Amino acid sequence: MLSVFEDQIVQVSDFKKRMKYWLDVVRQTAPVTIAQGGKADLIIMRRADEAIHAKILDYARLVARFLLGRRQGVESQALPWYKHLDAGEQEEFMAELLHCFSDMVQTGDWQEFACLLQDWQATAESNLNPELLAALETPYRPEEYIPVERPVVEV
Amino acid sequence: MSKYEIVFKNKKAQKGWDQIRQRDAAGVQECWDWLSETPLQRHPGGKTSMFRSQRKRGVIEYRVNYHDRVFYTVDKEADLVIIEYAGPHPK
Repeated sequence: MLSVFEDQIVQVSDFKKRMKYWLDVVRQTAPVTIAQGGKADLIIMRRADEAIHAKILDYARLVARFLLGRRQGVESQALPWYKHLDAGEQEEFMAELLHCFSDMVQTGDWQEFACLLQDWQATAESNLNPELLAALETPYRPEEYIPVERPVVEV
Repeated sequence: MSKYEIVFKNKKAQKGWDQIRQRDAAGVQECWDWLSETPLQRHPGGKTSMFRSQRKRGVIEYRVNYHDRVFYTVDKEADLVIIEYAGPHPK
């Protein structure tokens, strides 16, 4: 994942002269910072990269709020479903959360992190459904299996 | 010919499925189509979630609609989808 800290700095006059070249640099390699009047405070970067940065920042804020709340021993507002996980699941979740968060920061792949949160939320909410838990505990007896036919929808 | 055969784990699962079908026939048909072809994939619309804890690993949730869910496991060797539970789910 490229960041603003891997940019190239270009004078605005050079940028104007070779605009296509510099835009290609941005598209194909790294962001470009524009310097003008002694200041280098403007950057041109790929929109998709900025979207990734924004997403990672959102998740970083979420994780920080979650960890802070946990440290203070208060119910999590950041991940309200966390309390429904049992003690063992909470431990598993913490390990996976930190591992996946670290991966996301390294690679920029925030989708995997989003899946992790979605999956653990579903896992937590399953604990609110005693009928489901009982069904999952029921042993498999292939002689009891019943084939499922494709339902027909009447139009 | 579908890729996966689908079965109910038992009569209770079948009863839950039938009740959802009465409420949302189109949603159940869409669910059946998903289960029969791509039960292990992530639904692009976010309808599926894979349980993560050791105790429940392998269980997949399919959201039929806001209230109803189908939970299933997949026997990969037999290309068999086993519906464990179907019914309303608290949020």
